[in-house]
Amino acid sequence: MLLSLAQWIENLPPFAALRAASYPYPIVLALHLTAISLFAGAILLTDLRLLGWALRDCPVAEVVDKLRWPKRIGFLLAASCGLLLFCAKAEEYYYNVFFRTKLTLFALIAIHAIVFHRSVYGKPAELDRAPHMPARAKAAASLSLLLWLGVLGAGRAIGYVPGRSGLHFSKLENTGPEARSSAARRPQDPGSAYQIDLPRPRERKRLPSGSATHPPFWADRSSETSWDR
Amino acid sequence: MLIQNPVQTSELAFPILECFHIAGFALAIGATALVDFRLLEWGVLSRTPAQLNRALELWMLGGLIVAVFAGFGLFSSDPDMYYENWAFLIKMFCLVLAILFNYTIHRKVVQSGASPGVSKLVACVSLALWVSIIFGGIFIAWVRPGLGLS
Repeated sequence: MLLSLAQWIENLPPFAALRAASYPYPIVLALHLTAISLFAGAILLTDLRLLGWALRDCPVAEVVDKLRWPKRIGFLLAASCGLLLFCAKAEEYYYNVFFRTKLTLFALIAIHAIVFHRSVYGKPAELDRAPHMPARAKAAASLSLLLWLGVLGAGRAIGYVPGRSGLHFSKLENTGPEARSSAARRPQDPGSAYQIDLPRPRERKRLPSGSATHPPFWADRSSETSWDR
Repeated sequence: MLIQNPVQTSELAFPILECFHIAGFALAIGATALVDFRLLEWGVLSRTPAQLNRALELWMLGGLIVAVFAGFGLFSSDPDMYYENWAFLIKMFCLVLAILFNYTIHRKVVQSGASPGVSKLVACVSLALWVSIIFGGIFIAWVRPGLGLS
């Protein structure tokens, strides 16, 4: 059901157009990264303040309160661009192990927010009155740092999973320069166990060793579980 | 003996360097953006731009250094391709401009203040320069000499 939903989404006219066109897709991707970099700094700085590493002369209450809105706006922007990117290639993302990892991390971040909102982020003035930063606040900050860096890594890794063959949208749609150039430059690889149908952000140079003929571990689909089964 | 560049011998080196690159520039640009938003009179209004900049400038510099050194690693994977890539060339041009602007005009306005109009203009120019670097970076992957969007 999720799979057919993904197929339906990516074949809706606006998302099919986004996938097929050459400029809009990288522009949305760049906006996604712009939102992340304009505002991820605010998340990092809040966590670093709670750990006592940055902005030590600013009260915690000030840091937490003043950076709240920048963080919210940034998250909203990044999430909406991310949603567009997902909708354009929903089926590919559905199979992508790192996309699933990223969603799991977002679920953990939501749990983190629920668990620590009351005791840490909801009443920062108490943290200022405490003689030492409570362990709870430090735990919240370290977990938040780890989770967000995990999201960054998983998000970047999404682009490294080779596309599947036999996806349910027409290959003819992919006629942007990206597709043309990567098809023209891609070395023929008859021994490959997988086939790349979709344009990838970047065609890496072939590795000199023989390892390139084997799919990397993240492309191994033999043990893959489908949510539809 | 031929010494191989580790970025080319390991499949994981490139993606991992990219993560450091992104984390570094997110911290650097995020810290600068907070100062720029303050110049635009939004965000951390309880501090003057100078105070905010003093608190953040080391983090900005740290993030920038991480991003630039990770960037050297990424560049070393395929220097010829980058040299012929117009998005990369524009990105480098904007990067040099942004760093120069940040440590000259931007710094002066942040530290000694200016009229509201000038402050806002400087903030917008700074934001535009940093954002154009991100766009340049993304477009590197979409541009190929002779075949790209040119």
